[in-house]
Amino acid sequence: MLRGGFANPRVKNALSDREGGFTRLLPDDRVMPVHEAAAIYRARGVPLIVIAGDRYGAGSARDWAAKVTRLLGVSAVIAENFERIHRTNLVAMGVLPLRIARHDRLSLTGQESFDINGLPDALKPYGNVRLTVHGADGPRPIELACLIETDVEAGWLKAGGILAQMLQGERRPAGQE
Amino acid sequence: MLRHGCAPSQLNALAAVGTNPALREDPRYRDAGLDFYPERILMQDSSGLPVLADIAALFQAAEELGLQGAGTVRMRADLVVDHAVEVDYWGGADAAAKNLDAEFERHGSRFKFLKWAQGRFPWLRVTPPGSGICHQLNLELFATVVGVKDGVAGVDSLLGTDSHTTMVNALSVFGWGVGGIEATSVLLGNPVNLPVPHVVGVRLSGALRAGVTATDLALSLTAMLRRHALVGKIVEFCGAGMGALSLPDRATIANMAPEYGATMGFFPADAETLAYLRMTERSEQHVAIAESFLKAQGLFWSADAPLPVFEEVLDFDLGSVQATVAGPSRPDQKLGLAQVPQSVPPAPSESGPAIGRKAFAEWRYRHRRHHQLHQHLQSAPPRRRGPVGGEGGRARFGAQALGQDIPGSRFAHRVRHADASRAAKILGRARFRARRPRLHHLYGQFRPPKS
Ligand code: SF4
Repeated sequence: MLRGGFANPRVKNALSDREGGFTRLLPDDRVMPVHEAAAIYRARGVPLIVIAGDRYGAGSARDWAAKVTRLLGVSAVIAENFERIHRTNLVAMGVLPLRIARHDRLSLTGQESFDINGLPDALKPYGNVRLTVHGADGPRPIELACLIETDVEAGWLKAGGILAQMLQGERRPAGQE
Repeated sequence: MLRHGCAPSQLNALAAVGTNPALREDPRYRDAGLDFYPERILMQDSSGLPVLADIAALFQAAEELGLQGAGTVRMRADLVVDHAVEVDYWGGADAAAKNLDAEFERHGSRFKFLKWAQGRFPWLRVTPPGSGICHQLNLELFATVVGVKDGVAGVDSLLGTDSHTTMVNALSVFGWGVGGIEATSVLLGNPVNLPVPHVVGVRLSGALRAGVTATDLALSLTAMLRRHALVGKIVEFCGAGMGALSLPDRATIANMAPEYGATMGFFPADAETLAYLRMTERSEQHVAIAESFLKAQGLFWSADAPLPVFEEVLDFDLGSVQATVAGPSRPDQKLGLAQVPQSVPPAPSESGPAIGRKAFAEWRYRHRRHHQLHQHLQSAPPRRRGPVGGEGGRARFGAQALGQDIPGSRFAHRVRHADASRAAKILGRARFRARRPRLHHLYGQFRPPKS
């Protein structure tokens, strides 16, 4: 299942020069399958984010797509906009969808590291977080919108996903505001 | 819906916008949304299995952590095994039975899991393979229209894990298709949040002409409705023409709701709804309760009822429908019967059988391919790709989509167990050993951090 994540043969990850499910492991500078890189990052304790473009998540088999994202260790996805169902699924799996305004071009080299500040206070409907891009020319702050639509969704994210929330017994009883 | 847990502010918004759609943008109501807690969940095997696996894994993890009460589902769920069948045998009296045998062989491990899940979860009812398509069973067996719970009557509602769940809207049951994760969330007691919906009325007039089928009607309506931006909106049918449509006709139209982009294609309850309940052998008492409840609540439609408040009303004359065929490639395109010959590619020049072995293999491959594709796409609202009849898009699979998606022909005969012994046989065969299945290890990922 993990191998199926981000493995669309026609998609080209900007971090790699090959089409398909590849990425560049950094700082080692080795191109390898996404799931292998994810395993190495997990072992090193590096949290991951996805940076994408327009209509993120449009396409088929989306239930698995959101689960895989979570299982690969991705904690947030930054995109210009999200396909509706995939956004809900990401939130249910505890992955934070963040919207970047179209004019905020990130212009990345792939060598940057990122900080996301303002959590967990921003975990509410229409909250904002601050993304800091640490690149060669110093830190650059950018405001991002959290695409959380309801208090229920905020609860899922705080708990780390809907299943985790159940295990924490924090579910609000049905019908109570 | 109202009684199932909406907050008072949401009810106010619904009531206000419902009587005066212009209030939709009023800041008092704009962001209220509605928390929808459906009565039940309907799943088919392909999308329902992951839901059950997640819930089983979750309960197991809760048990291991010694958590009380985390593992409860308080609603009814039905899972119908209807997506696993493949046609290996045909053209013989025993073809159906042989195909069923092959299905059991091929999918034994899935069925074992389902059998186990049914024993483990009291809220789950699994309908064995060979019984019928989930939407038809929903109409004939599962839907209550009006159900009584703890002595209180209320309307039936559901969410399904197949996009064509809307078929049951024909029976005035509230419901539509969602993804598996959403279904899991609902089973675990969460609501689905939706904005106060736009309701578009479609006023039907006249009657179908002789020789025009429900399929023709559904195709013409779909072509008409796709010209309007209906995504995220609810379509409700009304007008004197509605009374002239049989329930199977309505089901054909409601089934197509995802094709015209609407969340639902809703038919209010009327005399035909009650007649269908009787025809499908629901008890007299049940029908009587349904009738008095619907009438008392003002939910019962009759030809002289005033037009409900709609955001927009579209008119459609049933008499204008002609015999049509969808295509040449997509269900929202249509051709009059007379145009069909020109749209068919010329026959291959070699003389020989009309369809050879190779052509058949190719057809079967594409047919299966479509079926898989359809399952993948099923929770996607159809994306608008230019004007009706335009080029491009999902052209290659569209033709098959037509055959798959329009079940009109299926209504000609009853699909429910033709002979009673058959169901017993199926059940007998499905008697699996209840063993703990190997669950996938998802739950390990979702354990809360140890503090
Ligand atoms: S043919 Fe299409 S609509 Fe019918 S059951 Fe299969 S997937 Fe669902």
